[in-house]
Formats: sequence, structure tokens, C-alpha cells
Amino acid sequence: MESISDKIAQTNDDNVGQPIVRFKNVVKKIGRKTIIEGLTLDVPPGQVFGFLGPNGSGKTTTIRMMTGLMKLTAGDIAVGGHSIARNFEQAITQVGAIVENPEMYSYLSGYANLRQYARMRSDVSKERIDEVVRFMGLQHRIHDKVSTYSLGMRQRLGVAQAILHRPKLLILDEPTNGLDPQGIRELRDYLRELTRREGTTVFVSSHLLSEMELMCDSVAIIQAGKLIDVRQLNAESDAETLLETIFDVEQIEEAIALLEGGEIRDGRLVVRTNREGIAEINARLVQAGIAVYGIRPQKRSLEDQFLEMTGGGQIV
Amino acid sequence: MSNFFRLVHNENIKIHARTRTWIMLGILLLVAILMPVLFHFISDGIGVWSSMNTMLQFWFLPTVFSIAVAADSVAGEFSRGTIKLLLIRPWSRINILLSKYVSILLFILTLYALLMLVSLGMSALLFDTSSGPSDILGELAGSLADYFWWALLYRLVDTLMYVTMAFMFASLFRSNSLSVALTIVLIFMGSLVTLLANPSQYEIGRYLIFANLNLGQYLASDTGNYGVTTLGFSIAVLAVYYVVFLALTFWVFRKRDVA
Repeated sequence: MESISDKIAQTNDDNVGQPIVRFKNVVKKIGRKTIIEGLTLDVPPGQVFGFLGPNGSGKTTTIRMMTGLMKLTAGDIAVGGHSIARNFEQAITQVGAIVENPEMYSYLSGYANLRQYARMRSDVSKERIDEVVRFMGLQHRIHDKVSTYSLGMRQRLGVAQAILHRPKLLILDEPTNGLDPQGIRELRDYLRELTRREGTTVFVSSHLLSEMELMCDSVAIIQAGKLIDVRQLNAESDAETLLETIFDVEQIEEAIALLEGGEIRDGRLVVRTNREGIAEINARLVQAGIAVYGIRPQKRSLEDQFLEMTGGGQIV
Repeated sequence: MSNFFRLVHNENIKIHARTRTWIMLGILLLVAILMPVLFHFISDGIGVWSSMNTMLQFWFLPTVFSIAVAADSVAGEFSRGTIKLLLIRPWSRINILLSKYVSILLFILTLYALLMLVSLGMSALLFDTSSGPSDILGELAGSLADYFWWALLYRLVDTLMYVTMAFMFASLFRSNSLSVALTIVLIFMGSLVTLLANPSQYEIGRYLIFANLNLGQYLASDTGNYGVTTLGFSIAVLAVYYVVFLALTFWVFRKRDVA
């Protein structure tokens, strides 16, 4: 079978392959309050898929429904073609997850915790446990009690229990909570590694836009229980696209005259150009004896786009 | 599908990895060793089975310990948040809860076995095995030994009922302390309730669980403490309560939204 990531690379199309998760008009009401309002969404396989929204927008509720912890009020969620409501065991067997904080039995060792989850399946060998422990870099502390672990180590142990059975779908709820920058970077790296090596689809929720941008191939944006946008993020196309670039120069007027373009914003020169253009403009300015103190391409971040879309203010 | 007994094994590990459990076992061991020694010093010429019948007074120890473990087995998973990672496995909630219940039944048997076997061993060392002077208890059940085994069986039934009650409260309220407290309160309130709704005066009283617990009452009289019930009647009433408790426990656990 052709690998999933190849297919995506070739076609760069939304609807390649069967979606690993299908939300069909999902509604969740708690009491009279509607938490999720008619969520319909397909998650394509083999990606890191971001589920983005402000606190209280229904991300965790959605994840609880995906993992069968909460019942749906209406609609259906299918994982790998199996309904989580009607065929729970077939659906969940393909899923590994952390829901909120990865709470483990603190009076057991990390290893004993993993053994607990391994015993609940028939497809996890001792060798596999050791492999995952090494992959997560836990081998030195795995036989210590979890009560002695730092938050970062608990997160890693949480990921370890989630990937133990090589799930097709890995669900992580706010996985960067409590991680230091180093930990966040490592998490990003091993999620990439997982999608590449094992073809795992990663469904990751967060309210931290900048992180999602670095981590995800696509994001769905949810606000107040409603899906407001789904988009692909493409980090590679930067070289071609025109970007606003800020040049911090001494003589702005002269520079504008020289370049026959650009504008002044906040006392700095702003030019729209691509990668090549930046180098060229810099060379011309320097040749003309104009001192350049700084060059900064203005990437329009997901955060900007998000704030635009949600009208700002709502983001926490 | 992997084996259900691996789930039970998981639950057993969770019980026995706790220091608490070993303190309970330690207390039972001490009681089982020291009490027969104490009996030896304070009473003259009693036999093994008199000693054992007195040991039965300590039935509340395994009962209270099992209540604490049963409540924690369910409510503790909720308060620690570990319930989430437990439920997202390819097992139905019914099976997960059932494995917990089975592990608790095993725990009850372990506690009783420890208490009774060790004290029986101690008593056999200290006392005359050829039964001491027969007393009123012995005459009731044929012999003191027979009386002991029947009374032990009936105590096990009481423990089972109370522990099942605690298990139900834990599933309903997800609070460890509330479940233990409610169960203990009910144990103490039992005699008060049967005093107020006395089964010998009020028809309704005989259907209360408290009037039918302590099946040992039928060792003394065929019509029980109140003269209006029989062993068969009490077993039937307890069976109905038992089924209702368990049905409620599993139904609530199965349909609950886990937050």
C-alpha cells in the first residue's frame, strides 16, 4: 500500500484517503447549555491536525466525546469507520490519548503504570514497552514511583501510555501545558517522527496559536462550540510568497527614492517582496551608503489570521 | 480480546501496591496472634472453638477495611483523574467495573482468611482441641465447631452486603470519604432503624435490610430476632437488595459522563 504521507505530498489535497475521524453533526448539551453545536469535520490520516480554540470553546468536551468518556447528545463520531457510540471497543482500540493532564497511579512506578495499560490489550509486548520508554527518554527513571516525577516527565509518561499500542490516532489535549521550551520542542519533534515513521495521525488541541503553527499540518478552529474554519498550514512555501519586510534604516526618504517603492510605518521602511528581493534591496541600500540596522520579514502568523477571523478579544 | 483476568490482576496490583493495604493486613495479623494469647490468660479451660467464636467478634475489622478499599477502588479513580486513562481502553465499562468488584471480593476473602486461619492456628496451639466444656452456643448448632463455621459464613454475607453498599455509593457519588462514611453510618443506624420500625410490630420492618442482616440470628432462633422472619425469607430479601445495589452501581457507572 502506498504510504499516506506520499499521497499527501503528491496531491496536497484535503480529501485524500479515508478520513481517520469523521464528526457528523455532533451536538453536546449539558443541562440547557449547548457546549458543541453541530460539529462536522473530517480529519485526514497521517497528519498532525490541530484543534484550536480559546479556553471554554469546547475542545476538551470534543476530545472526551471522541474517546467515549462523554456521550453525544446528537450526531456521531467515527474513528477508522467505527462509531464511538455504537462500536466503542472497535473504535477505541485504534486510539491512544491523553485527556487533560496525564494522571497516572502515583504510588506505582512509571513502568508499572505502563504494564497496567499493556495488560488491557493483547498486542503490547514487553519489548514494545521498553522501546517506547527509550523513545520517550524515560529509561533512567522508569522504575521510580510516578509521585517523584516532574510535570514534564509525567507528560512524557502520558505520551508513552498513549502510543504503547501503536494507535492509528493519537489524541493529545493541550500537550504543551506545563512543558518548558525544551520540552515543547522535543514534543514537536517526536510527533513529527510518529507521523513519519508509523503513519500515526495526531489530533492535538491547544489554545496556543503560535505552537500550533509550528506543530500542525492543518488546523480546525473552533469558537463557542462552533467550527469556524479549517485550513492547511504550509511552512515550505515561504520562499515564493510576497512578504512585508521591515528595513530599519537611517535615511528613510532617501531609501524610498532609491527603491522607487515602499512605505513608512512607525518610522521604519516597509517593502513587499520575496526572499530574493530582500537580499537585492539590502545590497542596493548598502551600495548607496544607507546604513541598514535590521531586516525583519513580517510573517502573517496564524495568530494574526485567527484574531482577524474571530474578531480578536476572544482569545485567551 | 485479552483476558478478563488481566483486568482483575491490574486491580489486585492497585490494591496491594498501597502501604495502606499492608497496614490493614498487619493489624489483622496482630489481632489474630494476640487475641488467642489474651484469651489464654484471662479464661480457664476454654477450647479452640470457644476461642474462635470469640474471634468472630472481630468481623468488623475485615469489613471496615474492605469498605475502605471498595470505595477507593471506584471513587479514588475519579478523584485522582486516572479514570480517564482507564476507560479509554478496548474494554466496556461493565467489564472494567466488574474487574474491580471481583478484586474486592478476593480482598474480602484474603482478609477473612488471614484473620481466621492465623487465629485458628494460634488457638490450636494454646487450647485443648477436643472442645472445652460445651456451652449454650454449641448446643444451638450441634457443636461449637459447627456453630463457628455457620456464624463465619453469615458474617461473610454481612460483609459482602456492606462492601457492595460502599461500592454502590462510590459509583453514585464518586467520593471516597462520603461512601465510607455513609456505609459506616448505615452499619450503626441499623439497630436504631429496626428499633423504630420494629418488624414484630410493623409489617414494613421485616423488609428492611437491617432486619435481615446478621443471619446468625437464626442460629439462636428459627424465627430470628423478631420472631417474624425465617432464614429463607431473610436470604430472599438480602438477595433482592444485593441485585438492586449492583444493578444501580453498574447502570450509573455505564452511563456517566466522565469529566
